[in-house]
Amino acid sequence: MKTPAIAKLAWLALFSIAVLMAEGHFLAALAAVLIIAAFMLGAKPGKLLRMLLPALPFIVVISAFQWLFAGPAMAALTLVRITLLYVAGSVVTATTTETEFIDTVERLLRPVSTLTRTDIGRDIATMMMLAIAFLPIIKEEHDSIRLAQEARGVSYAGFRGLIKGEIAVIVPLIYGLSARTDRVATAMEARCYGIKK
Amino acid sequence: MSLKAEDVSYRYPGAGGPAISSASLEIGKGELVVVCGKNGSGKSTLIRCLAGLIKPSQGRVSIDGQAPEKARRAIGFAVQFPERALFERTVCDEVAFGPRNMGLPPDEVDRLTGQAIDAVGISRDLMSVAPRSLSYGRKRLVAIACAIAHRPGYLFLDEPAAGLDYEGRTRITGLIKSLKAAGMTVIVASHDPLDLLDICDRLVVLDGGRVVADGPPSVESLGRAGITSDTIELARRLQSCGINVREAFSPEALADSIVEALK
Ligand SMILES: Nc1ncnc2c1ncn2[C@@H]1O[C@H](COP(=O)(O)OP(=O)(O)O)[C@@H](O)[C@H]1O
Ligand SMILES: [Mg+2]
Repeated sequence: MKTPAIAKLAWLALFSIAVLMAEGHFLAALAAVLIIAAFMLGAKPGKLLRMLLPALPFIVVISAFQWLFAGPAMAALTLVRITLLYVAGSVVTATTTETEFIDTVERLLRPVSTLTRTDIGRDIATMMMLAIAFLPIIKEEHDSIRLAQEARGVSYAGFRGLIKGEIAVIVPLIYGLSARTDRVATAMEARCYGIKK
Repeated sequence: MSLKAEDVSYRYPGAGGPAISSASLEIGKGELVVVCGKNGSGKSTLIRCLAGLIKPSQGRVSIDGQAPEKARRAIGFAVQFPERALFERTVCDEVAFGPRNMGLPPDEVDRLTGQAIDAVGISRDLMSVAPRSLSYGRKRLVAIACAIAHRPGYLFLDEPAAGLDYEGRTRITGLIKSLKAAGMTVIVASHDPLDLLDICDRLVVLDGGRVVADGPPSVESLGRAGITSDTIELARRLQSCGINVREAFSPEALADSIVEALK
């Protein structure tokens, strides 16, 4: 059985509020709720872990600051809260396709569209689709420019090398992307986007 | 009913010279016009002006007697590498984007979407898949289906065969032929137009932003675009040997003509 995206989003909202208000034993209970929810929604533990790992350093740094300014108890509380929120968010994203998300957004905004007599719901959904469709392309383009720069001897070794290398990537990347956005905008315009009905 | 450009010039902001200089053209309903020229000769700029996607710095364009911004429904345009502008969730939604923007009722949107998919020769089974997951050649066909879904009277294709393999190019040529047969006015910009010369009505040659030839395709007009035709060369040699063949631009047409002459 597939849980509708809207139910998952509602659950995420309620869960987040609960996490931000709860302390002590209640947080342990919420952790249990999260594990059950992850199991019920069919989120794979390995995938959740892979999503959590890159965020872990940031969570630790934030908690360390809490330790400095508010003491160890607050630091521990922050660590647990952020981790719970992050994993809860991951459970929802890992079990929901982009399409479901966009459909839900479109449906949620339908009353607004009707009320304002505009296409705002569809416009926002279109923007989300554009973003989702072009993020991987930006990454692809970035990687291929980087490869070309490396082939021409630009070194990415070390922190300074990485920064200098990325600067060498960014100019052609932006140039390439502006050509791409121009293409997309023209193609959309030629398909009657924004035409007055 | 025609598309008219009078004395059109276009200069890109910040560019040294104009990309198009005083181009005048009239394209009648149902014509298949090929615009050719070397890289940078202004093909893309010219057809963008003709389609009303960019506003000429000088001169004017009218589409069926209307200003281009009033005639957007009459225009279909597939940009170069149009598959890079696909973003919808399914092929069906992608093709339906245009008809939906026109505010048509859902059953009419479905009908137009289905017709466009059939017209480019893609199986309707692919309607529910993500455009991103298709092969390169199929993506191109989907992108062209997108450009024709709202049934424009004038279809512009910018380098429709660029980057395709032989089979892909052959399909595009066949598609252009069938769109013309269905009554659509088609304007193709191509730096390598040999595939289309046997089926087109007119060849417009650009050089440095100027129209230097406009008429039925000929060896002379092609020469002004820096293109030589091996098939015409061969046909002429055969003629000089007393084999009475027609001059043709595509190997297929020349082959047919040779077979006929030798019968
Ligand atoms: N966005 C742009 N900005 C500035 N100059 C451009 C732009 N696009 C094209 N040009 C210039 O305009 C001229 C014509 O380009 P274009 O119409 O793309 O030629 P073609 O399609 O025949 O290759 C070229 O000299 C090109 O460098
Ligand atoms: Mg071009």
